Amino acid sequence: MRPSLASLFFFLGLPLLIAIAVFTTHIQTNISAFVIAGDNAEEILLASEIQSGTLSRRYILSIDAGEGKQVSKVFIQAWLSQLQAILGVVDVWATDEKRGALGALASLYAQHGAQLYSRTPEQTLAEILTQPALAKRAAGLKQALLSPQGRMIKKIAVQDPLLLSLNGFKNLATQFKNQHNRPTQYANFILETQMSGMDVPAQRQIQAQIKATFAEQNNLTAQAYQLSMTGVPLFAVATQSMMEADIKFVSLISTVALTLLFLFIFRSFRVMFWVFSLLMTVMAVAVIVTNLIFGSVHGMTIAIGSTLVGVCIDYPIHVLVHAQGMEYVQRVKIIKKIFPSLLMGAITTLIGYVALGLSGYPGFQQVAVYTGTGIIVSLILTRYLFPKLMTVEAKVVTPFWFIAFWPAFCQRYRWGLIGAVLVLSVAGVVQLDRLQWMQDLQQLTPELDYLKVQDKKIRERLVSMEPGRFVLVSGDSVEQMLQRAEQVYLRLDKVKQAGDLEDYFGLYPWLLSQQQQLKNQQTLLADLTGETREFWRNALQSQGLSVARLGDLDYTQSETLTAQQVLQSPVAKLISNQMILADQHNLLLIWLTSHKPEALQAALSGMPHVQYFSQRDMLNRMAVDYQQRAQITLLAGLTLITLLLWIRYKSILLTLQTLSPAFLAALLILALWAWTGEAISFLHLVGFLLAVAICVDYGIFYQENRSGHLVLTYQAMAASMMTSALVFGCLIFAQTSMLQTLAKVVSSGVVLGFLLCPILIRPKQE
Amino acid sequence: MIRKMLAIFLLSLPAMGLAQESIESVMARMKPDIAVQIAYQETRYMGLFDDDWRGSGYLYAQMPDVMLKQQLQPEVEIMAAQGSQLTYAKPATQTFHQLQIDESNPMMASLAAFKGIMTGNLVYLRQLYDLKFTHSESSWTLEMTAKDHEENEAPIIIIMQGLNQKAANKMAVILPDGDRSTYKLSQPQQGAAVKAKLAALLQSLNGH
Repeated sequence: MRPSLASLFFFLGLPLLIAIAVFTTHIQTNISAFVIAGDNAEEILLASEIQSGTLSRRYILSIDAGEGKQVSKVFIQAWLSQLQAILGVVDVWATDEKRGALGALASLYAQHGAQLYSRTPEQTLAEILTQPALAKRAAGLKQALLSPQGRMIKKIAVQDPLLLSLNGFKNLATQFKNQHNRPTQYANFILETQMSGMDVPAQRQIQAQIKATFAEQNNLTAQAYQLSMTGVPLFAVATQSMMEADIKFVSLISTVALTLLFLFIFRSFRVMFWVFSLLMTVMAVAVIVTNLIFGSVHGMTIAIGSTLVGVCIDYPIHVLVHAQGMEYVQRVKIIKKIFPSLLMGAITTLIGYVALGLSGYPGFQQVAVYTGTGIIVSLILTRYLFPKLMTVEAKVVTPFWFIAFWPAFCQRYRWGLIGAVLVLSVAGVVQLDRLQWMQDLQQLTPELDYLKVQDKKIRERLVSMEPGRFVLVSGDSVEQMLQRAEQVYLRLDKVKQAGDLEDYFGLYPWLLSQQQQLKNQQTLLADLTGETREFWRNALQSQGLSVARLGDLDYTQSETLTAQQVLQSPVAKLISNQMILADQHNLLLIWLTSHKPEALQAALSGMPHVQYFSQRDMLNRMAVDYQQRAQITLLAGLTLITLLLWIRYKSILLTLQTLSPAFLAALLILALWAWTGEAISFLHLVGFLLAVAICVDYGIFYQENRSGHLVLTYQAMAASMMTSALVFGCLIFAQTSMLQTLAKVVSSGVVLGFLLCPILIRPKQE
Repeated sequence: MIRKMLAIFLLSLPAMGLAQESIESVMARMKPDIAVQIAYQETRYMGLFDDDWRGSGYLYAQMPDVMLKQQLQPEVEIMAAQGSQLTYAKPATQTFHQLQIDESNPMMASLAAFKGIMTGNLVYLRQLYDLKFTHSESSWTLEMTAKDHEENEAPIIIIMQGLNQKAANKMAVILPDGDRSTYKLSQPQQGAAVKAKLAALLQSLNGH
C-alpha cells in the first residue's frame, strides 16, 4: 500500500528534526548543578566557589615511598618541573613548603610587627614589656640570631627588634607541630589548575598527564612510589565518567532490550519502525524544548528521561493492539474510541512528572519538562499521525495465554484474591511504622565511596582538619568580615578552653582587621615608656647585642597590612583557600580540627553573619527538604489524580476502584522497604510517584475498557507494562545508585499494578 | 728500545711523584672510610653583636649523608643533618627543632655545604655551588659560590682551605649581608670509635 502524504512528510522531516536536536542542544554534565543548590547568599557563593573557585581548582597529590623510606629529592624536583609544564597547571608546591612564607615574614610582616603581634594587645604587652620578660626576649633574640635561621631573624630584627611580628606565628607553629605528626614516608603537594574543577574535559587531561609524568619518573629513577590524588576535580571527573558510561550503557541496553521485546510482542519490523520513528520524534522534540527553556540539557536528564520511552510507547502500543490490521477508517474510529482513556492516562502521568519537577531537586525540573513534553507530543502523534503511518498489512498478534488466563482467573477467584490482597495490605500497613528515612545524602552516592576513603586517607597525612566543616563568616567589606572573624576567634578560644574544640585555623596571624591593627599599634606605643626602652637597652647590652642597631624601638610605621598585600605575597598559597572575596559579599572560612558541633553552634549562636557550616549537614538538610517537598507533592499529585477521576467517573467508588491497583502497589512497595529496612530517600518517593502515575493509567485503561475487548485491553496493558518495566529496569545496570533506585521502584511498581488490576477492578464488557 | 723506555718513564713522571692537588683528590681525602671527627673553633662576626662570638666543638660525618655538629662552648648545642632532615637541640633551654633541609634556601645552604664537604660528596656540591679550586705550592683553596640566591642579594660564599696532601684546616662562610663565620679545623680522627661516638650522639638527639 502506498504511504500517505502525511507519513511521507513525517519520514522526510524526522532526520531534520533529529539534526536540529543534535546540533543545537548544549549538553551539560556538571553533576553539582544537577544536585546542589544553596538556600542563602553565603551558601550560593560557597556553592559557586566549590564549582569554580580556588577550592575547586586544587588537587592534593600524595606520594608514598613505603614504610621507613623517604621520597627522593631528585625525584621530587624532576617530577615537579614536569607538572609545572602541564598545560593549565598554575603552580605546584609542597604542602609543608615554608620558604615563601618564611621569606614573607622578613619582607612583609616584620614591618607590621606593631600591628599584628596579638589579638588581645593589653594582655600580650603586659607579658612582654616587663624587665625580666625583656631580658628573656633579648636572650631569645641572641639565640635565634645564632641558630640555623639566624639570617631570617636578622632581617626581621633590624625592623622589629622585639620580634613582635613573630608573636602570632609562635602559636601557629605550635598548632602545626601538634597537628603535623605525619610519617615521613609521604611527600604531599598542592597542584592548582587554571580552569574550574568542574571543567571535566580539561581536568581529565590534566589528571592523565599527572599520572603519566609520575609513571615516567618512577621508571626513570627505578622507584616504586605510589601516587594518590584527591580534590574537587577528581570527584568531578569520576562522577561525570560514571554518568557518561551510564548514559551510553543504559541507552544501548534499553534500546536493544526494547527492540527485542517489541519484536517478541508484535513480530514485525515494520511495526517496530513506525513506533520507533514516533519515539525518536518524541525524544528529539523533548530535547529541543528542554534546551529552549533551560539553555542546556543535562546528561542526567537524558539518562533519567530515557525512561520516557517506556511511558510514551504505551500510547502507540494501545493503538496497535486495538487497531492493527484494520482499514484506515475503522482504525481511526477505534483510536477515537480509546483516546479518552489514553488522554486521561497521559494527564495522570503528567501530574506525576509535574510533581516530580516541584520536588525541589534542581535537576528534576528539567526531567519534568523533558518528560512532560514527551508525553504530550507522543499523545498528539499517536492520535493524529500514527493512524496514517499504519497500514493494513501488519500482522494481528494472538494474545499470550497469560493475558487471557489472568483476568479470567481473577474473575473466578476474585473474593479469595481480594482477601489475600487485603491481608497483604494490612500486613503492609503494620510494617509502615518501621519505614526508615535516609538521613545522609552521601548514601545516595555509595559508588564514590572509594574516592571518599582515599580523600580521608590523604588528608590524614596532612594537618587533620575536618574538610567539610568550618565556621563561615561573611561581610559586605573585607574589613567588616575580618572584624566579625575576630569576634569569632574569641568565642572559639573559649570553646577550645572548654575542651570542645581541639584547634582552629583562622586568618590570624596572617591578617587582622585595620581596626585591630591600629589598636595594637596605639596600645604598644602607649606602653613603650622611657623606662621600658631602658630595660630593653640593658637587656641587649647584657647579651652582647648591638644597642645601636637594636635599641631604638621605632614602631611608628603607620601603614596597616591589607588583605590585598597578603594575597599578592607568597603567603597567598597558604590562605587563599580561606577567603572568597566578591564585590559585595566576602566570605572567610575558619577551618576546624576535631570538635563537638553542638558546642560550636551554641558558642556562635546570636552572632549575625556567622554560621557553623557543615557541608554534610547542608546536604542532609537539603535531603530532608527534598523529602518533605516530595511527600507534599506526592500527596498533592495523588489528590489531583483522585479529583480528576472523580470528576470523570462521577462516582467515588469507581474512582477508588480505578486507583486501588496503583495505591496498593505503592503500599506493598513501601511495606517491602519497611520490612527489608531499606532507608528511603526523596528519590524513592520520586520513583514511587512515577510508579503510581503509570499504574493509574492501567487502572483507567482496565476500568474503562473502551474497545470493549478486555483481552485486547489487557494485552495492550501487558505490552505497556513490559516496556515500562524493561526500560526502567535497564537502569539497574547503571553505576549511579540514584538510577538504580528508580529502576527498582518503578519496575516493581508497574508489575504489581498490572497484576492487581484484574483482581481489584471489575471492568465494563461489551 | 732504551729510548722508548726513557720516553715512557718521562711521560709517567707526573703520575708517579709530581701529582698535583685537584678538587677530586681533596674530596677523596675528605671522604671518611667509616666515620670522621674534626675539632673546630668557630668565630662569628655579626653586625648585630657588639663583640665577635666564639664557639667550639666537634664536627662528625659518616657516609653516605650524616653530618653532626656538636658545639661544646659556650653552650652545648647539637645539630645533625641526616638525609634531608635537620635536627637541632639545645639542652640548656630545652630547645628542640626538626625540619627539612631545603638546599635552595640560603639559610640552609651553609649547612648543606658542610654536609657535602664532610662526606666528600662532589656531585652534591656541584649541584648547589659554582666551585673554584686553586692551589699553590703548599696549600689549596676551594671557593664555593651558591648558585641559588635572591635577586637583590649577593650569593653565599664558602671558602675551604688546607695544606697540600692534607684535609681542610680552615673554612669561612661569608653571608650576603656581610656577616661571616670562620672555622679552624684540627685533630681529624677516623675509625670505629668515632662511629660509635657519632651513633651515641645521634641516638641521644633522636631520642630527645
